[in-house]
Amino acid sequence: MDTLEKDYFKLADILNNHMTFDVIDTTKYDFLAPTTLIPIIHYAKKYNRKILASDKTHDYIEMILKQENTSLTTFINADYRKFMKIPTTSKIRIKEDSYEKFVENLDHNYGGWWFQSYIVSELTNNIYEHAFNNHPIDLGINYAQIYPDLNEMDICIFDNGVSIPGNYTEHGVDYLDDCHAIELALSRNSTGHNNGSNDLLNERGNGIRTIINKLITENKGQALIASRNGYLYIKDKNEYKYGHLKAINGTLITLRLKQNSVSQFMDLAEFEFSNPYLYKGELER
Amino acid sequence: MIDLRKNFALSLDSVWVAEELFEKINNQEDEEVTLNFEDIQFISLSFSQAYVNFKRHSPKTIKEINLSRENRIMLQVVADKFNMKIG
Repeated sequence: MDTLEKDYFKLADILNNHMTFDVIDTTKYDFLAPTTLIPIIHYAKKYNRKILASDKTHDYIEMILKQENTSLTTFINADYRKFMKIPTTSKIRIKEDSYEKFVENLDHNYGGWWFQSYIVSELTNNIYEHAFNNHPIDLGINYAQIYPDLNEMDICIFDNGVSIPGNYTEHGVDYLDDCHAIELALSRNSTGHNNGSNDLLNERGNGIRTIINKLITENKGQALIASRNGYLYIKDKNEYKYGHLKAINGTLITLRLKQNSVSQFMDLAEFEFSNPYLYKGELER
Repeated sequence: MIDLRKNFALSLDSVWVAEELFEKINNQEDEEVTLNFEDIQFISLSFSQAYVNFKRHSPKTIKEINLSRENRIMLQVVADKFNMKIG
């Protein structure tokens, strides 16, 4: 199976090199992971393009497209694929308990129910709080797929909102480029609303920071965070890479979970660790 | 007393839920408000941070009851920063 970074390269390749004004041609690839497929499906629906698929991916893509059309909150009931289209307002979401249903349908062997709930709730919150704030709502999608032969599961959270760097721009936060903005999002810095107070606990980046920390150190999983023109791929604790690649307008986060449990325990150290995934872009210039 | 399960969801997972909760709390006539966390399965960090912050600035005296161990940890870890006691 390809790495999350290669999945993202596939997405960029398809959208940049294999798309005409009416067709997105994916036939070059016999396997499309969520990182590749979810933005393509969104793009195809939004801009009314047809998707050309290989024999191996055709049925899968068709199934996802059909399910997505059913209602605001949709699940794929196949054994290995779960899908949720995020309701478009927080009020609807509170009523529908949608993320609870999404997580209920996942296989909890991958990181455990609590960690999956933590991931989906925090990252979905980020979409409502950052991506859609003061902007017309476009789309957010949560999607999960298990790879039973590899004992791994991808959870993919995608929104076509304002993006991490775009959000920093709107809040007057300086950053070098889009990769640096991603680094800032994993550092003790955030742009979420502050509930009328300026204290440190309103740093709204704690959710994603603690998720990545637990994912890499406890679950031994991998992560891809892509936003606008930049991405960060974290293979493990010691190996990570920032890159510049244009494939999406908003933010795509894919977490590849293994069957290692993640402790529910939280303490202050969880919030206070410094971001080890530093962007060296400034030095490279 | 405010029963969180009846008023909200099984999971308290967002800043907006905390905002809505404190609208209810601050509109109560009593000075002391009890929150019943029975059957609440999950509390997110986003909710915890907002909850503690609203609680610090609320004019009411708030008491939490029936918190599960896990949910208490999630709230307390944030409250510790301000030497606040949950429950």
